[in-house]
Order: sequence, then C-alpha cells, then structure tokens
Amino acid sequence: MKKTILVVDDSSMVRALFRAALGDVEDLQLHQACNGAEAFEAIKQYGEPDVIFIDVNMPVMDGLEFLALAAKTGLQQRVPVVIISTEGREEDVRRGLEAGARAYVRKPFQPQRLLAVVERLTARPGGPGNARGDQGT
Amino acid sequence: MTREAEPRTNTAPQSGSDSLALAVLAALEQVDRPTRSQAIAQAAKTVDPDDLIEVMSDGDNSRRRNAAMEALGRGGTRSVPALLRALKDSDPEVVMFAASVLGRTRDPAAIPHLVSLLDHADPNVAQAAIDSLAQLRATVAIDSLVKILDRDPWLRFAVVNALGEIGDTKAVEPLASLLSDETIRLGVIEALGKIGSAAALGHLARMLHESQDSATFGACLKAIGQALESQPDEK
Repeated sequence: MKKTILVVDDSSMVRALFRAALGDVEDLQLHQACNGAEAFEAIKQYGEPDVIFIDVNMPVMDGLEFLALAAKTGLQQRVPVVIISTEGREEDVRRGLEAGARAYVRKPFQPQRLLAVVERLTARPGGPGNARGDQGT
Repeated sequence: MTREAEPRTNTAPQSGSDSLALAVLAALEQVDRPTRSQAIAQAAKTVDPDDLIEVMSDGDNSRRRNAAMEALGRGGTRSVPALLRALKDSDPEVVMFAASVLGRTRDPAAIPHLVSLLDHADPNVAQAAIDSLAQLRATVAIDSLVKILDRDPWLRFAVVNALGEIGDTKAVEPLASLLSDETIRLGVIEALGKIGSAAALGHLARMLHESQDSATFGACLKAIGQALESQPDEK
C-alpha cells in the first residue's frame, strides 16, 4: 500500500522541491496544500496521510495553528507532523515541538534527505528513529 | 518604475484613528479565525504599514506575525514603501519576511529591490526574493536569475522553479542546458512544461526519447501534457 505525504507550504519552490524529491518514489504518493486550512481540506478529500510536512510561516493558517487544531481533532496522535522552519528560528522549532510536531527540517535542506525522514517516521512503532523530537536533516 | 525606500516620515500616531489601529493590531492575534480574518482585512486597508512591519518583526508571536504579513500582502501597493524599508533591516529574518511579502503585493515596483537581494549572504533571504520574483512574473529579472544558476543547490532549484513560474521563452535554453544534471533534472522538466513553448516542447520530446529511467520518462510525459493543455484553443 502506498504511503501518502502531505506537504503544506505557501512557497511554490518548496512544493516543487518535494515533488522533485518524492513525487516519483515508488509506493509514495504526494499531496500538496498552500496553508493549514487547505491542508485540512486535502485531508478531507484524500484521507489522512502517513506524514505531514508543514511550514511554520504561512498566511491563512500557519503551521503552529494547524498543530493546535490537529491536536484537538486527534489527527496529531495518528499522523506524524514535521515542521519546516528556517535556520535561526529556534523559537519556531521549539514551539512546534511543544505543540506536538514529531520532527523538523530546516531550510535550506537537502531534498535527498526527505525520503529518509519519511522512512524514519513511518517505521513501525517503537522502531528506530520513531522518537519525538527527531530532527529531519 | 522603481520606488525608493524613503525614510518613514509620519511616525506620530493620529489620536482619532490610533485607538482603532491599536484594536485592529491586537485583533491580529485572535485565536478565532473569522475575527482574525476581519482584523487582517481591516489592517490591510487602515493600519499604518510601518506598524504592521513592527508586528512582523516580532519573533515572539508567530500567529500575529503571520497575520501582519498577510495584511501587508493584501495591502498591495500601499504596503510597498514600508516593506522596502524593512529590506534594509539588520535582521536577516525580517528581510526574508519582507522579501516574501513583496511578492504577495503584486506590485512590480518591488522587482529591482528583489533582484538586489539575489546575492544576499543568507540563502533563505535570496530564496524569498526568488519566490517573490516568480509571483510577480518578473520577466525583466530573467537574466539576473539565470546568472545565479551556478549557486548552491537550494538556490539553483529556487531559480529553476521561478523560471518555470515566470513562463518566459527566454529561459528555455538556460534551463535546457541543465537537463544533463540529474540532481535538478526533474525540476527543470517541470519548468519547461510550464513555459510550454515549441522550443521547450522540443527539449522535452528529446528528453523523453533519451530517458533512461522511469522518473525522467514520467516527468517528461507529465510536463508535455501540461504544456499541451495550456496551449490556447484555436477554435
């Protein structure tokens, strides 16, 4: 069964980077959204993904607000969320992890590493790398 | 037209409207989304953009910061002078946020200022400028963008994506020259599909024919399909 990834970022470049890195990986399906509200719409339409990558800074609904809502609805307990932050925004990373994100990637990141993050986070419960606060890159 | 980042001249709050502006600024951090959306719409029209820049520069509250950025973007041309001043901030984070909002203003006056950020030492600032040039469909920036295609992989990918978004045929040959580089090939194929000119289709057809792997083959098919779909209907 295919693993599904949802990438949520208002930057067309970051979404394109995910498409290039993960779009043609066998057994992986990629969905995209431009903000947290669109992410919930995508989940309604395609079902819950196996991993969500979400930017912290976005219009309409940002990554931290998405995490708070995902915690309320129980989504966060079922689907690991990885926050996308920029170098130097330690506060955003800390708040994201406190809000329930499982891991983070910092821009600029190496696209080749995204698959490794997905594999770690979709490993069996208790398996290696499935711990909270696991850094992506 | 180039708008200069003139110093802020009107910093004294006007007493009549000031309390309203303060209330709108406070409402930007409302948890309730409909209330916040109303505040953003109001702030875009009435709050001094320099006050919104101050909120945007505050790293402590991301909800408020994102709301201020949204209001500045929606403010369009009225936000541009304040955003241009913010490009000179000593904090690269503030410069990055300002650069990223300038694309949302849809004001082409921002283009030369964004081009001047392409050589910024912080790759996230340069990427924000590239993304905004893409949003502004800045055909005049193509030569400057092509010049930085030899930078690090992150910026290279940003430029390739931007050249596709801008969609000008002038970018076809510089993009095609990158098709031999497998680290960026899939991004280049997608960009050529977005440009969709006869020359771009020619390169995609050749790549499709010569492709050695399923990822390249699939990406070429998809890009050709997108290019054909975007052709104007002759009927």
